[in-house]
Amino acid sequence: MTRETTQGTSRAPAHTGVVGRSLPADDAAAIVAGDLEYVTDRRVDGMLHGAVHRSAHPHARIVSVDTARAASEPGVVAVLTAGDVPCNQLGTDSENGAVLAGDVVRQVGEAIALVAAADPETARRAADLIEVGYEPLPVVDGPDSPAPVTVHPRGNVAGTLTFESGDVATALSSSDLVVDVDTTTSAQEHVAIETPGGMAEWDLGKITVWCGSQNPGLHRKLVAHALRLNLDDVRLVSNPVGGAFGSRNDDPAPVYLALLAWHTTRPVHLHLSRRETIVAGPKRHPYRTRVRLGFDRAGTLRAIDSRAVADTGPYVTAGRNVLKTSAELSSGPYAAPNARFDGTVAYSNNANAGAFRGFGAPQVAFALETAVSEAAVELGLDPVQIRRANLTRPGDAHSLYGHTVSRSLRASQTLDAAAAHPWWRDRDAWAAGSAGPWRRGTGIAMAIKGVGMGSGKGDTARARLIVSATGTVNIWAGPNHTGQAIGTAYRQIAADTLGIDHDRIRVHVGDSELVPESGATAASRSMYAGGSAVHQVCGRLRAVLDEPGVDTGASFDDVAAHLVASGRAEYEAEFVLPDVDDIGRIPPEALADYAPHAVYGCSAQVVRLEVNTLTGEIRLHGVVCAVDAGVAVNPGATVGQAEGGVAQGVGFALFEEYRLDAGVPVTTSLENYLIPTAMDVPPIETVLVTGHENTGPFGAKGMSEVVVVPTAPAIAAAVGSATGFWPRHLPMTPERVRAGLSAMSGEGTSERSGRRSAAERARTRARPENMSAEPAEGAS
Amino acid sequence: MTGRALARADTPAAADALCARGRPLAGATDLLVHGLDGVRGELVDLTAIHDPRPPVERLADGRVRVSATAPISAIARSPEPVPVALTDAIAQFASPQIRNRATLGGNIANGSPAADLVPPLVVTDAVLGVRGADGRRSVPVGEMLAGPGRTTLRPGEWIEYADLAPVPHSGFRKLGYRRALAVAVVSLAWSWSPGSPRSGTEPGGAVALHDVRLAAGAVAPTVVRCPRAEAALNTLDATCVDTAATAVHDDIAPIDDLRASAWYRADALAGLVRELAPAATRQLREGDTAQP
Amino acid sequence: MSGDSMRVNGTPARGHDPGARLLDVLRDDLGLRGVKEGCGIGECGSCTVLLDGEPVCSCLVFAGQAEGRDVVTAEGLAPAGELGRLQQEFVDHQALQCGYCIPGVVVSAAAHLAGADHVDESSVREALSGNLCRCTGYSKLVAAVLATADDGDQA
Repeated sequence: MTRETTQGTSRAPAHTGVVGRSLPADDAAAIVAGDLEYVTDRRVDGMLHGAVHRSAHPHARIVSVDTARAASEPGVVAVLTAGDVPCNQLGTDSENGAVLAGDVVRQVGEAIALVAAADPETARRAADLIEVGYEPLPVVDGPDSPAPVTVHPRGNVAGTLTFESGDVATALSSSDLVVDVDTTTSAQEHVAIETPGGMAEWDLGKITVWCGSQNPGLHRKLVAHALRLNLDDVRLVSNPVGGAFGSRNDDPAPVYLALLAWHTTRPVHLHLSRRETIVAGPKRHPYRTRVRLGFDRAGTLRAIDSRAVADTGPYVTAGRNVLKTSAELSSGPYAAPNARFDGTVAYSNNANAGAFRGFGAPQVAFALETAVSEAAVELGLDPVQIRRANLTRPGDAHSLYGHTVSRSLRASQTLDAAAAHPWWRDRDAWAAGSAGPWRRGTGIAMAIKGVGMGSGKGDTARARLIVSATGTVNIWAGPNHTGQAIGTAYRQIAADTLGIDHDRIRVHVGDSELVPESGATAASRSMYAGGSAVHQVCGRLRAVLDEPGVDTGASFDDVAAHLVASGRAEYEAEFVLPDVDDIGRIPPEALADYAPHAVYGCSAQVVRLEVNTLTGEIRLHGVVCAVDAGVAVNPGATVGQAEGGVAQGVGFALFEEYRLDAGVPVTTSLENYLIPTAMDVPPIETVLVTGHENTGPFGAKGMSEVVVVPTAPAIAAAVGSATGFWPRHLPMTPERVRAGLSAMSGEGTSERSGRRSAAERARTRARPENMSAEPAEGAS
Repeated sequence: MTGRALARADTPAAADALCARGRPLAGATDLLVHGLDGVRGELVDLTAIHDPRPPVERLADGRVRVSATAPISAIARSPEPVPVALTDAIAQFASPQIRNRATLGGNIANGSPAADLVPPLVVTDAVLGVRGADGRRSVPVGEMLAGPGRTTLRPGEWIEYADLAPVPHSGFRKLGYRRALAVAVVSLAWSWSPGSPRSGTEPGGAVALHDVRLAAGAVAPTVVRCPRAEAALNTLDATCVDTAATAVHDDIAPIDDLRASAWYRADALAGLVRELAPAATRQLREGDTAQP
Repeated sequence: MSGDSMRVNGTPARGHDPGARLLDVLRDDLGLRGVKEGCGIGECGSCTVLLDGEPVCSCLVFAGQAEGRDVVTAEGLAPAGELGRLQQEFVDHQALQCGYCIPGVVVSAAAHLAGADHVDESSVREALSGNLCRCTGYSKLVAAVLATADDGDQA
């Protein structure tokens, strides 16, 4: 036996390192056996069942709420309306809406009343028996609505962000080529397969809520605020949860649960239906984004000019932060001496928009990448070459803000990794295989996405560690698990930091009573921020172990017993995410308003597909996803995140569009809101780009959002290469593709009269009104 | 969950009696989707009828009798073959789980203009065996379809089987917005027979089609035959595709709805017709063996 | 109302309401909460169980329609406390993330492996096409099923 032992330690057999190994998730065995109890699976004796009565109108004054019939149903224990909420507001910002609408409803599906009853059917039936009198108001059905009302007294503009570096107007007017791309992207629904819900119990003056959450700290505050409780009297257990993707960031379900349990003083269970989840839940902000790029003849980018209008629905929630992310990523990975962003986030009576994986990046990246691809065609340049030539180099200044871009960014290597794949190299042979109406094409696109909340935000994660006398290392850390096996990654980081076997380490996430506040499972920060906090807390224990006389060569059981006996078994640590080294053109006092990132993840993707020119159908044949995640702590899990991100990008590109008609939802089930099936997602080849993020745990950084972003523009570029038609509107439904092809070829004139104009109408409907030609000048 | 009264029919005769007062129920793959609120009375479960016959059997006159109460997955894997159009339509129907419950009878009785299994029945001149407490009758499938969500099925009647005429060549193509679990935006079933080779055509031995039948879904209030396009395709000459693709617009009456505009439905159906001619030519040239 | 017996994971179960959804009987009456509800209309497949060996959405089956028949859920694919070969391949391939859809996926996959004449990537994707997964992008699910088939073994 030639096993090496580590000098000076005796945690035999020698710890061989688990960072970089693909360990299955801790709860994998329970999941495949059907044994894992999710928050909505929780049951206790004597529990009540909740239901929600929701608005039938997109915009109306509430004239009356009659709960008498509901309350008199046998089995009904409580019917709660606005007046029953101690502080009827979701958080401290009134722009985020009421817990239960009392005066005005601003979207279909807004909660008006809650019911608790002995069984789910009675609760549902009673909720249906609540009679609400409405006085309908004109509906603001989007940022361009001519409705003579505003959603909020202060107007329909929820926020703006403008910034310019250099002189964009002059640069565009002196450019050899200006590519002008006007795009729309849809309201995308998360479709986490578990719909929101869970349980709450009120006991001895404390409320405990078991409900999915990506942000237990925020949810505790929402509950405490609504019930006027001390924050310490609110406990949130936020997993296991069946998916999140941003939808559990500020979901009100934990507040409903708490309110019902507090009123009834009994355990209450609530599990929302798919329909109410789709109708009332948050969406990705639909955007209109216009990008103008100025190039010189050689293909050097002179100017990037972006205008974006986001529809946030009736309440702003994440809207301003989403717009902020769009601004930062409006120049993508590219360097341009002149850049401008002019963005607005607007209120409407459409779907409430909120956080969704990618968070403002996919919308602007679709416009930007489409413009870059079209510029390559115009200039006769290779799509990889034009991108590579214009990339921001590590350590360079960001195009818009001028802050230093981290040295660990590997945009160039990521692009090269995607372009090295045979599906890109062999694109001509692929195209040559086109047969009949099916035309083949290949496209490429790329994106970056910041890791963490950004500079000036004080973004922090924490961890707590206790060594037990029996030799187990318990770690409480966050952000918590929403499906990405973060607890397993924390164990891997802990094992290698401590140099002990990962089986000795237990990680606990998602219980606000035990886990120190660590912020949201969002912004690609779990691995980077939470992993760093775990690394640091383990580093403290490691420093003690390395002191002379502590680690005596005995087994770790004995070492642990010694640590406990000597009062050195408990540690805490926190990791504050680094701000950018140089804030560039951002005024120091406004740093948090722009919150540029020190660390970016990167993805470049190649798509090969076929387009049926007769029907507009698109069939994907493969996606290459190159991703720069620094060091992958758990490569299998990282690849899984990449594959899942691509699949969501496929849905965003091809199918997904939450639609309303004058504020009334029309796609309210999984029968008409379509997400990709196993037959729609093609084989995905993930390439992990070798890198190392010096500020991250073992060189890791975040990657789970950026992988969603390049898919749609890569698909659009592949459609363009196959047919010459460049889609500008997502999703690229067969109808939109067919209308585009038809317009391009002037087809339809020879056949029946009137059809051409119908095609024109279909196209017009799918296209936004032109935004005003000249964006207003804006600086911070 | 409080359930509905559910009566189980073990025999066809029991089903006749129960359906006189209740609502026939087969795979429930649509009924439970659209909710039971509007459904009055007891539900009569037709999925438990004990039928010693296989789901597909060949009749003495060459027609194929297909059970309307068996799960369609059982039809697809039956040793006795059915026309390819029907197998194709079953393969493109919803998902494996739904195919294990859904029935031909349920798909017809729903009266959906987008029903996947109806166009294959139309091109195979299917005659439906309908029965109830008042007796039996045979109804050509075209006469069963009355409009969106409507059929000519009388109260108390249920569909026991469909008899399909043999067709040498047939197929089905659905245009949905994804590859599985998609409602048809446009669908097209076709059947034809090889015609006599025509003399004096270009080298390679052009062939003509005979008895072309096209049935389109989701482009009219019911699934419809497309006689103008059929006539154009009967001659596989150089211009027949253009003629058929143009003519098909007069065979249909599409509307705008949630899934697509009327313009796109017509345009896409013309596209599917255009796809057909090369496929037909290839199939005939390759001497594809005739299907039942 | 009391229904006649059906067999659930090999054990007779009776006394259920024949007009209730099979999904509710399994989850609420029998405590088999590996059977998940994700949509209630047969679109997501999270509630997939085997009915006489065939995968069905238990949200679209009345309990009365399962009378006299065999129902198998994810919990019944292997003896309690053990994993079948297919389940182990899902673990080893990291073929799950949030995991909520996975019991249904495993049931569909088990039926495919048991019933298909030939198993390849395309047949597996078709077999899983009634099970929506929002986390994984399906690749690892497909790989886990194919690996099980390669072993010539079943769930």
